[in-house]
Amino acid sequence: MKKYEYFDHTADVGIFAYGKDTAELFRNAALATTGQMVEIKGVKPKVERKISLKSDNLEGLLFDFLGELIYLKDADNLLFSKYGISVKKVEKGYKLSGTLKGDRINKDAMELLNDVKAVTMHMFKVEKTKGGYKATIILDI
Amino acid sequence: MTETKKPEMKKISDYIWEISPEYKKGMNVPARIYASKKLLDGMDAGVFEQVTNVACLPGIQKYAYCMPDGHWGYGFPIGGVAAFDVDEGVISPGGIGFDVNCGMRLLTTNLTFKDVKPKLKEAVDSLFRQVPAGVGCKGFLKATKAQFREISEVGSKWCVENGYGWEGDLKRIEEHGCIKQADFSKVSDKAISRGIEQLGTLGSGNHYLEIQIASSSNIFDAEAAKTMGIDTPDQVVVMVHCGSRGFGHQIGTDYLKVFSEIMKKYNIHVGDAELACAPFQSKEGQDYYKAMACAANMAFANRQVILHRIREVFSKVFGKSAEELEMNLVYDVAHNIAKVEKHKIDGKMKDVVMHRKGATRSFGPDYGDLPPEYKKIGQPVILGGSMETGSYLLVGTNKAMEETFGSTAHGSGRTMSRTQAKREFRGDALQKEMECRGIYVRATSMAGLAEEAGAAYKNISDVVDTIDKAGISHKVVGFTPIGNVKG
Repeated sequence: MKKYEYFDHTADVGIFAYGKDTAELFRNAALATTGQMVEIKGVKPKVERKISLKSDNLEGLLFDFLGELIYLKDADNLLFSKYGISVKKVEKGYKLSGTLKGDRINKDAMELLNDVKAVTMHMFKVEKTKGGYKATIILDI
Repeated sequence: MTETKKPEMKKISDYIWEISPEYKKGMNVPARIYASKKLLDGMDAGVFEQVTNVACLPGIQKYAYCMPDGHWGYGFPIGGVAAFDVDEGVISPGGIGFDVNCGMRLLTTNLTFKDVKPKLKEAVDSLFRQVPAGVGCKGFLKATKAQFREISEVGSKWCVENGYGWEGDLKRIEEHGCIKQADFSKVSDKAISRGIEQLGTLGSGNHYLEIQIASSSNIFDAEAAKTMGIDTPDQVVVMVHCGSRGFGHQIGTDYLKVFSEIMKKYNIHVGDAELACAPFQSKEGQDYYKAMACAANMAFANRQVILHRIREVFSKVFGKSAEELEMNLVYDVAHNIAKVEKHKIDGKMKDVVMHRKGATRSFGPDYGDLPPEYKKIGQPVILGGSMETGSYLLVGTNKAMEETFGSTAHGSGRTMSRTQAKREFRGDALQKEMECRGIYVRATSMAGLAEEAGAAYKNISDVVDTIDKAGISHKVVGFTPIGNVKG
């Protein structure tokens, strides 16, 4: 199964992310999002950051998770390449928790690409497929 | 999106095309596209879908518009313009964009191409160092939280009072560089921590800082050009394109979530989740407006601090003070914003919530906040082109006030996706080719440079000719790039 693919959008970037379960879907969506900002292979897992998010639904949780990665890029100067996360159904919605591993932004050690501004809600979707899950995401570049 | 069929369009004039409210259930007004036939035919189907979604929003006045540089965006199309009744209408982050007050700033010098050519590389390299760009860049201005609050509430004025600019700059900025409704208490801590270290930074994507020349053959209205300080053959000017950075991006994200959760309460339904909105007079609508105004003011301040850096660099490289070099601000315009403005509707002046997303204010002579010297010619309108082709300076018109709520295009508009551009061009090869053609470029990312290749954009002359001939702006000067710092 493909992890993710980019699709054409006139000014921004479209992502189809896939996963056999929700945690894998979220990891692959995170890789595709971070992959717009940096060449992932240059991001060493040197710094850890715990993460815990809750939302009423899966779409809201994915939107918040990707938004958190963009937030941490600006606020704490961090980009991540390993996403040790679990996604669980809880009483009122869904919960994501786990540990992100990455490194501080360093233009000499990393190949930096585009400064992703935000996750948009245009076409944003998480759907169940035959083999698992698929997410459609458009990032504002 | 591209497989969607284009709707039927009624030709109103050679440059105006109308989509009837019959096209889509829920349209409150018709949609109008300003475009030559050539530009209209080249528009992606997303434009028509999105502009007709905008026409469905509550309280929209007269028409939902798309300008000739329009293309598929998120929420509104890029090039989207809409006015909403202040009492019955809404405010939507999808009609502004995450990059609140992304905009253009233009300044003159009294240098000519001949003066700059021998030191062009030194100037561009120095600008590349002094105005940080790209992912994770931090600005030189280290503001405390209290200072950042003041910057968010008063905009460019704070910069001028603290030595980052000249008193005369302020009157040459849309809204004089400050949207007064800004209220910092409506901004989240996350937005503050994203933006507080980014004052004086360009960002990336299509943001840039460019050294350009105005050759004699590109002057279309010498009198208006002279009024704006452009009166010498091959005169050098500097153009800046950037916005409110992570601060605005987070404010957009925060309120998009708030609005998507409360629309049910207000019985609002939208055709695209990105058009999530709230009644302008509701608590949520007012909170967003006040927070968005903070982001707009931060963007005015960001461009002001960058202007200060440009003056410092030119002064050092060319061995004269910025005053001696006559580095005067021509104007600063926003092209991603919502504001309350007065416009004539059914013969009466009324307040409306203007949304411009990838569209520029184009006020005619005697309207709005123009300084006395511009009251004869109209508000300067700055259209940034691709880094390879060129940019334009125009002025607003009374016809724009009558037809488009004083609005016009904002740039060339993309035709090719970023992924497609990366498939077709290589950044390093493009950089070399451009240097051979006399354009020296420094970029933080070669992949990012490839995405901004000139061929990824519409022909800006087609866009400019359309708004000039349609009469919603008047063409004054064209500029050719010679040096570029790309984020």
